[in-house]
Order: sequence, then structure tokens, then C-alpha cells
Amino acid sequence: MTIGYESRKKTNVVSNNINFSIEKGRLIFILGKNGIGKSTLLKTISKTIPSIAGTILCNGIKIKTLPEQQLATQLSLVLTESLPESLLTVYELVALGRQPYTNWVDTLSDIDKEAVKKALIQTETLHLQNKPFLELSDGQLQRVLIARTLAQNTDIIILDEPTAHLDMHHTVNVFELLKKMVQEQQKTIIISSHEINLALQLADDIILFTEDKVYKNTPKNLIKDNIFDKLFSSEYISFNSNLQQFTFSKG
Amino acid sequence: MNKTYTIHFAVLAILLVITFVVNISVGSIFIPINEVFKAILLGDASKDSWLTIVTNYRLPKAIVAMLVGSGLAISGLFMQTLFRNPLAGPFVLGISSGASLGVALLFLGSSFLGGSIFFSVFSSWSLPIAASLCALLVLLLIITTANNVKNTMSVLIIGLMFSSFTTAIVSILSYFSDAYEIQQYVFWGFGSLENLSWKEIYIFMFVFLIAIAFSFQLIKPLNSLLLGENYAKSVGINIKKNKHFILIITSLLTGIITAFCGPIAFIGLAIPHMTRLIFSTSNHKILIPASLLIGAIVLLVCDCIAQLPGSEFTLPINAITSLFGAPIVIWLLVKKRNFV
Repeated sequence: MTIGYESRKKTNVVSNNINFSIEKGRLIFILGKNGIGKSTLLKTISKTIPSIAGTILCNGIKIKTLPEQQLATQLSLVLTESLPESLLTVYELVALGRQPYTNWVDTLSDIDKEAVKKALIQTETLHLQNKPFLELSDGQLQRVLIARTLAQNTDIIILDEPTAHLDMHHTVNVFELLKKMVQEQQKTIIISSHEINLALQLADDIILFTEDKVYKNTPKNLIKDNIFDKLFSSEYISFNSNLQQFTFSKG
Repeated sequence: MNKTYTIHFAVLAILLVITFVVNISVGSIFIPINEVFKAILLGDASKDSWLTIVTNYRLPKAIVAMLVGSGLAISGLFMQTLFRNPLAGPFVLGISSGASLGVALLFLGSSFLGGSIFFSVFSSWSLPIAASLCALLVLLLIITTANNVKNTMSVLIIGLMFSSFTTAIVSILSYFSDAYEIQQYVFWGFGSLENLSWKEIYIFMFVFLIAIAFSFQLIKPLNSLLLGENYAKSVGINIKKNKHFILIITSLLTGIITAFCGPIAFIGLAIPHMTRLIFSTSNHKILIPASLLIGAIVLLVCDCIAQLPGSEFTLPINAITSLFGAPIVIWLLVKKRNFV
């Protein structure tokens, strides 16, 4: 598959020759340096932008042919973009995740209300439900956005840099929550992130973007094959396979 | 979405009835409230002149006021949600300017475009047709550009450019026009809820009801847009189709309102803000009916003030809506967060 941005005049290929499959019930991290195509890949998988060449299959069906309504019951998103200001409360925001199931005037049925409540409890945000979302801290907001995807009740959840603004405590918190969702509910979760050291410990699979190739494998195998050395072409950062971590050398 | 607003709506409905009746009773000649009821419900009044005034002047005017207030409020609400910008409104998009251009061409351009023949043939019809056509033209231009521009903020700026463009054309036309033509255009620009025949009101109502019926279809997409277009898409909303729907309804309402009543300022901008403040929600299932009610009430009140009860003068409605609207918007922006 080739991914990138297309406009009428020119095609801007970000990355090509990507080929991988993802199994159900795995926690998958997408790693790579800035601008290498992580977000583009996520946008392409989620049908926010079309692929330039190649196809994406979801349960054997091309997502290009899948109606948006149906895709919305299989795949949900947490994006990096900041939300427009509004008076939505946490409860209402999470309830918007039920839109693929609600009727034409957006009335919440008992099933919908149950799903929203469950999502709030699972993400430990029930006490925030009547608060306007604008008043939340970044860590709380991230959990609420994850609750929204839980309410949407999809097998696949895609998160674009969910911990970009969080401190270490909240980062670990969010990842633990996602790990729990994978283990307890057999969700398939795809995360793009820069938290490489954490990803190595938590991920079931890693999709690694390097300059010339995109690798997909378990963290263990990637370490064994010394792939991580290719991640940053910098003399200051190197991968220490004994520690299983990236280290920074002061030159 | 788990709150109930029955009391709010009941109060607004009662207020609407009160303002409607008061609006009919006040004016250069005061008609007692009970006579207004008699005239509307039974078609009878103590004085023949009162009955004539109510059925031929005041009742149509009150109905037009309600349609204009509600229609502009809905247009404003849709624009603010679609563009996620608290300052969006039918005026900002340039649709009103498009309608103004149509009217200007009719009034001012007749001398060198040969429009006088057109004007005399179609008489009262030419005004709404010209305004609606030009509003539609601007809308089509906006839709075409909206398809080519990814960013909704750019569409807003393009709308502003359209209005400067039309203003420029109007100035050029005025330069070549005689005093009488300019006067006609200026009077139209003051805005007026009067002088519509029942036939025109039926057309107005017909277009209005179609637009409102469709706007209830948009509750769900509008709610999903509160999180931005990408999230809306991810919950299965067809953004392109619904965006077009929103733009068409807005231009239809703005076009017909501007054509019949002139450019009425600030209602489209201020009413949605007032509604959000009163109901403190962003859910369009509440906001749409609430804006309809509040828009109607506010314009009825504005019209009562414009009549200067007890005097023979009537102030331009546009001046009253601006006097009322501008401070409200300023107050909102200072006091509250500039939410959408």
C-alpha cells in the first residue's frame, strides 16, 4: 500500500510499500520519527483520507466499499486535533460515540445509556460526567475520549498520539487502560506514539517506520533483528539491547 | 442530553403568545388586547377600522416578524456549528450580500441595464426573485469553493470577500444612479416587516416550513460536528452531503428573508448565543426548536419597539435589531467564553 496526500495537481507520497496484517485482540504501537507517516497511516486505515495505491481489508471487506455507517460500528478514533469549543458535558461527549446506533434525532435508548455509563465506569470518569469537557485536564480528557470509543463499541480502536501532552504518570495510566481493554474485551488497539521505551514493554506488536522500510513484528523479534538501530539516524541516540531501551549519549 | 427542558419550552411558548398579541395591539393606533383576540379568532371587532388594521396590516406583519426571527436564528445556528465559529452568521457567509446585490441591480441598475421594463412587468415579484437568485448564485459560488477548500475557516473568509465584492458593485451602481433610485434602495436596506400581501406570506411560509422540516433532519449531523469534521466522519456521518444540506437550507432561508424584508442585522448572530446561554446546552435537538421560539419572540419585541407605541413614526427594524444585538454579542464575548 502507498500512503500520502493527493490533490488535483500533485501527489505527495509519504510512504510506500507498506504491507502488514493485524490480528484481533492485540495492542499495536506504531513507532517512527516525526513526519515519517505514522499519522498518515492511521488516517488511511480509518478512511479519513484515501490510500494512494493498494487496499485495506477489514474482516475481508475492502474499507473503500464499506459504508461509513458500518465502518463506524467497527472502528473508532481518538485524534490529536483539539476539540472545537462547545458546551458539551463529559456525558454528552461520550454519548456522541453512540451516534452510529441512535435514531435520526439522536435520542439515547436504554441500551445507549447503558453503554455510555459502562464506558464512563471502565475509564474511571463517571464522577466527571456532568462537567463541561472544556474544564478537564489533558489526562482526564484523554480518558473521556477513550470512553467515547468504548461507547462506540467497536472492535478496533485507533489512537493518534494519545499521550502527547501527558506526564509520565498519566501516560502509563492511559496505556494501562488500553492494555486492560485489549486483554479483557479482545479489542484491537492501534496507537501511534513516541513513547518507545514504554511501547517495548507493553506492545504485542510494533509497526516500525524507518527511512527505507516499514517493519511489523513483536518487540522481541524486532530487537533480535537489530531493527531499532535504524530508527534514528543520529549519533547521539542509540538502542541498548541489554537494557531494551534507547539511550542518549552525551557525545 | 439527560436534562429536561419542559419548563423552559413552556415559558417560551407562553412568551411567544404574549409578544404576538402585544405586537398586534401596539402601533400608531392602539387596539385593546381583547379586541385583538376577537379579531383573530372570530374575525370580528368593535370597530370596523380595527378589524381592517388587524387583518390587513398587523397580523401579516406579526407573522412575517416570527418567520424572519425564526429563520435567521436557525441560519445563524447552522453557520456557527458548521464553521465552529461563534461569529458566523448568514451575513458573514455573504448570502445576505448576494441578496442585496440582486436588489441593488434591480433598483439602481435599471437605468443602464434596461431593468425598468423588467421591473414594471413583474412588479412586486421582481424584488424577491432578484434577491433570491443572487443569494443562490453566491451560495453556489460558496459551495464550489467549499469543495475546493478543505478548511472551513477559509470558506468564512471567502464569504467575507464576497460581501466586499458585492458592496463594491453596489457603490458603483449608486454612483451612476439618480436620487430616487438610491432612496428606494436605502429604504429597502432599512429592513421592513410590512407591506407583504397574504399571497407573498403564503410563499414565505411554504419555503420556511420546507426549510425547517429539513433542519430537523440535521440534528444528528450537527451534533456530531461539535467534535469537528474528522470525528463526525468517524461516527458514520456523511459530511459532504450534510454540509451541502446545511448550506442550502441557510441560503434558502436567508435569501427569502432578505428578499422580502431587507437585510435584518444581528438576529442570526445573537439569537443562537442567547439560546445557548438560556439552555446551556450544545445539543441541537434542544437548540433548533429553542432558537425558533426565541428568534420569533425577539423579533416581535424588536418590532414593538420600532413602532414607537403611541406615536405616528416607525423606526427602521434594522436599527432596532442592531441596537439590541450588538450589545448582547459584546456582553456575551466579555462575560462568557466564546463558545459555539
